[in-house]
Amino acid sequence: MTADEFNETFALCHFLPGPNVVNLSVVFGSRFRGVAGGIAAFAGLLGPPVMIVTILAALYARFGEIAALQRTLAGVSCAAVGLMFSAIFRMMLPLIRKRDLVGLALLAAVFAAIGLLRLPLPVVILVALPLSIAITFGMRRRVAA
Amino acid sequence: MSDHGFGSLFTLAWTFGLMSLFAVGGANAAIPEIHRIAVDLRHWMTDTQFADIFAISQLSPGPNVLIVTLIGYQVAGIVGALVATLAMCGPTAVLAYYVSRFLTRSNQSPWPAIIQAALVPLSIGLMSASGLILMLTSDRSWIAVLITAVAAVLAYATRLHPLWMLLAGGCLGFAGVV
Repeated sequence: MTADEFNETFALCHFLPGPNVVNLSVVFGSRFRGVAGGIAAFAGLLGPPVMIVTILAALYARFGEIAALQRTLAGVSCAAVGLMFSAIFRMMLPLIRKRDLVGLALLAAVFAAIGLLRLPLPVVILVALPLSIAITFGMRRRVAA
Repeated sequence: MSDHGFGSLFTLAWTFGLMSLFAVGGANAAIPEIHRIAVDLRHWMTDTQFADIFAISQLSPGPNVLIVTLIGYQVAGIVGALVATLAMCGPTAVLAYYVSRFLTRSNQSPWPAIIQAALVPLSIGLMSASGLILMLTSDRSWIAVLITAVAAVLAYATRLHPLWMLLAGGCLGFAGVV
């Protein structure tokens, strides 16, 4: 696979729903060996971590009540939330730099619908996605014209 | 943990199978929906357990979709873990396979780029909602909020490996600071 092909595949897997890394590995695997390659990549990527996490889940089910473990996990999740905020800010920065007010408004609307109003995800996406596609399409035509 | 039978496996399968098709931006963007269903709707776990499971998933090696594996285990043991993982990853993997084959055949269409650009604000909005939901479940004291803020600044401003911050958070938690 060339660098261009990789970038193209990477972009593709970013706009498809679902876990991006898993999608990427399946497309990557299938480029080499068809369906069998896709399945092999899927199993290879998910198999070992799923086994490890299942063991951790079993340990948590058994020992999750221990106060020291609960305190430790609480500390880890505080830090993990911080990491997530940093990732969100990095992604948001291009929109802010471009002064993409329409994009930021859509972002805020989705945030409010999911985070504040706690609406179901499918409903929000089924409304927001066509809207966002229509706006993007309209703005590109205006730029082109 | 007992096996809750076929019914809960079926619920896991269609819950995550359906969710994955709308999980624009990957597993981290789906966290509010996972929380809504697992804690508020189905009462599979408490808020604290959800925060614990999020912490375990972040500590684990591998893709961050593994939070679904942990929830599956909590609901229906090992089989539940497998069913939830396959339901979350399988349908979209098949979709990715077919879409990539279709796109290599017709490469001139402007639509992939338009759809991709249209999805950017939506996935960041979903991620921001994830941040809020996780903050509400995890940060139960001012010290906790401070740890989150420090981790965010360090992750943004330095090249420190994320695992160090998770470990530091864990140590502070163990010491009883949080």
